[in-house]
Amino acid sequence: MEKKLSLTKNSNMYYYVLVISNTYYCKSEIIKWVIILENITEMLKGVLEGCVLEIISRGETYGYEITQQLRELGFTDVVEGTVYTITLRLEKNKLVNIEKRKSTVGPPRKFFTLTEAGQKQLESFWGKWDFISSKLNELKVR
Amino acid sequence: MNFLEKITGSDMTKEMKGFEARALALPIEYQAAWKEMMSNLWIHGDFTGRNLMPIFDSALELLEVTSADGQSIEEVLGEDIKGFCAALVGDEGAKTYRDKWRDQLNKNVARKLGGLK
Repeated sequence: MEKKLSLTKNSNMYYYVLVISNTYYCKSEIIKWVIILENITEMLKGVLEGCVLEIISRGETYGYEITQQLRELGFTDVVEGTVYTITLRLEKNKLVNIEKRKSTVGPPRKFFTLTEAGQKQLESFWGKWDFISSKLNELKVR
Repeated sequence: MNFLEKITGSDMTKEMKGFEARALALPIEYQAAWKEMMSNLWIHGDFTGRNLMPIFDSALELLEVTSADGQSIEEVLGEDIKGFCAALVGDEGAKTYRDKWRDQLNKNVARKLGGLK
């Protein structure tokens, strides 16, 4: 006798649809926290990207500057290579505008600003973050 | 690329020569990192390796800008070069040849099993 949980996806939130066998049933509380944990894993992957989007939204900037700001925030392990892969992804998904400017040292440098899609992605990121942090606070005060 | 370039890959050879020249212009520690990145990236190549050309270009661009800034190579790439290369290739391209072989094996097994039913 087994309980089966199958997954359906609804606009970025995961819901478990419970298929109950004849004698088992799960407490809805457990399911709720499983759903939240799933979201947290997704969120952690996106946290650094969200931070980069936020930093770019505050004004035109470039790789080295973004790395410095992340380090000041407390992400001390962040290297420019990491930021580079994030900005490459943002560029590919058209979330940022790129302007190449000549620099006094070395090759021309890319300067980033947010596109409208990038702005929306940023807002969606903060929305998800607010949701998850409020749920975790709920857990803490219990 | 024209037809001849498609079969011989001569445009890729030219590009690779260009990449080598750019790499030689970098500081020594960057060149060592570049060699390591190349070997990590080739694993993610498709049959011709053509998909890697823009990736090599991006990687070199990063190295050129950061070396001009005067950063050390550890500051730029950190400790996880393999992870960096995987991230460069991107999520869709992250299949190594091992993953492709695994997929093929799974497909063949599934087909055989399907035939037995």
